[in-house]
Amino acid sequence: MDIMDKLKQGVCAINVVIEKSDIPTDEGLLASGILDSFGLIELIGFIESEFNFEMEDDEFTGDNFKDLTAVKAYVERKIA
Amino acid sequence: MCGIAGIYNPYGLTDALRDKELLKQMTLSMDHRGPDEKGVLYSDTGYIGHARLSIIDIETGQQPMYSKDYNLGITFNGEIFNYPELRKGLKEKNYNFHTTSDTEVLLCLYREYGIDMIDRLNGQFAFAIIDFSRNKIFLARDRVGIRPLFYTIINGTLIFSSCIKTILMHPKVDAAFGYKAYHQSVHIWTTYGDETFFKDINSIKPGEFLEYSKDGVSKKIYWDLSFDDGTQDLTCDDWKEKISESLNQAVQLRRRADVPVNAYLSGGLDSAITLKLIQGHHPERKLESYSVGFTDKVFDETYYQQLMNSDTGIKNTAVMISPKDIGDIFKQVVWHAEQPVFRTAPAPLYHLSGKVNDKGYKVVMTGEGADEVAWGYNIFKETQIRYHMAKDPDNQEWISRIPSLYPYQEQFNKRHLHMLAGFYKQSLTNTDSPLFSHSVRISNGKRVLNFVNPDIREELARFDIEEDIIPTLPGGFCNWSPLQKTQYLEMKTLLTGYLLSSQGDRMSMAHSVEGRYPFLDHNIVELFAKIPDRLKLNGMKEKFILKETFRDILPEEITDRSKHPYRAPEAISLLTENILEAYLNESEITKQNFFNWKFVNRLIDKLQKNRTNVSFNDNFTFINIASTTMFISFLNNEFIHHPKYPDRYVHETEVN
Repeated sequence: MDIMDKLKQGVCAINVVIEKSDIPTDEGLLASGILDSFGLIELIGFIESEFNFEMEDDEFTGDNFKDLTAVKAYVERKIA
Repeated sequence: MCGIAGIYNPYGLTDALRDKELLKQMTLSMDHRGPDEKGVLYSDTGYIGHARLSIIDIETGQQPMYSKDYNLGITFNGEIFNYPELRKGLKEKNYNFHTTSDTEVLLCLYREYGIDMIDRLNGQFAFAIIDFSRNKIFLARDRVGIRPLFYTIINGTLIFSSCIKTILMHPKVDAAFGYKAYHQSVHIWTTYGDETFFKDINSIKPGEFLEYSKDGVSKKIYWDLSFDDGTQDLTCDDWKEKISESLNQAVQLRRRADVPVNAYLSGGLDSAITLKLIQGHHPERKLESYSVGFTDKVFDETYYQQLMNSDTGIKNTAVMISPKDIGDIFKQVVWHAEQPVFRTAPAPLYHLSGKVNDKGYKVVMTGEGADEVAWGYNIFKETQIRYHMAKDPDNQEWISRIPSLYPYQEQFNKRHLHMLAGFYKQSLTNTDSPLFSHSVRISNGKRVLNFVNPDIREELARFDIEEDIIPTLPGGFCNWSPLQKTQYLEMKTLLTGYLLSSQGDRMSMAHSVEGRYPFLDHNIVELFAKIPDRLKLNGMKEKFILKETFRDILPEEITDRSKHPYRAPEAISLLTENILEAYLNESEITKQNFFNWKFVNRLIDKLQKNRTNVSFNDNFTFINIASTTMFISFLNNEFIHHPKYPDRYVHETEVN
């Protein structure tokens, strides 16, 4: 499973009514309603656990978490 | 607090004989509201019944009460706190009294002033007066909705009661799910206006009376919260004096009873004030307080309750609640509330009233209403922040205040400031909407609709929450400040539809306990409406002038404590074997065809994997699903299958 697949799996575990195939990668996570504010926190927890790193406070930015494409790029930088 | 019921037709009752026994059974079904005495009154046009919780004039205050002199009958639930003063005024007009009850005062007031007498009442009430001479009936409810009153009209026959289940005992009344009510409740957490969760069964609105005669039905709002008169520019000290005097008066009035009046104590500011004021009037009189404690320390306020007990020397009885205690009786919560709920918070209060009843007491005074009238809730701060962000979205001063809004929610943390700012910025697009203050709540609540089956969602899509609320707003609403609008909406929704009903009256009356609310004395509500906004929410200091007024008589830790909203363990309390086996399973959910089992099952899995860190939305959604599923199940069973109630002595009056 590649990084995007895992991220989508994480989103599905948080928002239980969404199907993996319906998750957009280029739409704002909050703006699209896919996740609420708590859901974003849950996503951080998922990422840290799944990819085995700890996020720094100042990395939780609009740029890094704008949409799933941005989150994927952030994760790739962290695990590189 | 009692239970009332009635069947009325100005043209005469069509099934008079059947309805006599039916009305008796309806009255007996409200035994939990009025265990002390039962009475019925029969006439050609109407039967009314009363289940009494005897509080004032124990010996001669039986109901229904009939005045032969004035040819009036009444069945009344509640208290008229200024009844001695009203009685004095009527005696000066040569009215004679046969009892010492407030009920008789109501009859004489009606005789003197007609239904306009309602403006003179300071109380909490729901009553029906049959004016036999004029062949009409009046139903009336208090200004803020402390006491319930429901009704339906079928083929010209009016059927009313304190309990919807009692109305459902009538063979012509069907139990049908109220989709509009459900749509309202997922958006604003409660029903709105006269809506109930039972189709074609309505509520008398707070501050409303209904008249029914051969001329038809007419309804009128006799009181509503208003800020049209503007605020007064008095000094802080002047306001403190007025608040102290008025609240002392409100508490003193609410001590009027022929039984002991005790108090609930939460550990917060409002119940602490109430306790001190009650004690202040009669320090020698034995006073007890009752509290809820939680085994989960996140929710527990025992420390502050004990602080007040040490400060006052008042004996406190605490009921310790675990998640299991909530899950075990959640069915009873929904049964008594007669609607789905979005929180488990009513459950501990069900236990608490049970404890009060065990100890032999009937009346408690509580601090409900203070957060609405004195601006204690975080929604006031949230609206203030959003309003200022709307003018300047990147204003760091206001953004920095966001984390303080809901500190008990994990995401409301300075670490997540950027994300929270982004979340709130999204909500700033409708600043001109009358519902601006509640738009975050409305938007969050919609999520539960994702769990509803498509055909039900289609049914619900017919409704529009803005259309339900906006046309009903008073003419002057648009001129009020953002926070005044917030208060109005909060009182019309959360206060009336949930706090005073599902969490208040229904949980206390389940164990025959009457709650009394000094902060909801209409003089208090009107007084606070005149206070400038900045003295109620001062920067981010909630209930500023209220705290300043009573700072000298309260422990500093109580006054300076930040707002701790009353909450109880939520979704985890309902993840019990009993609830899952009986309601939240594939068979029941599929049979009901309301929720989508696939999504419900996923949510159950998610919650079972992580019971400790559950979001507000997941809690809200899960409790909504659990209670709605129970409610729908009850619609086909518990709400409509009534046992033959035990034959208790029922006093009968015949009016010819």
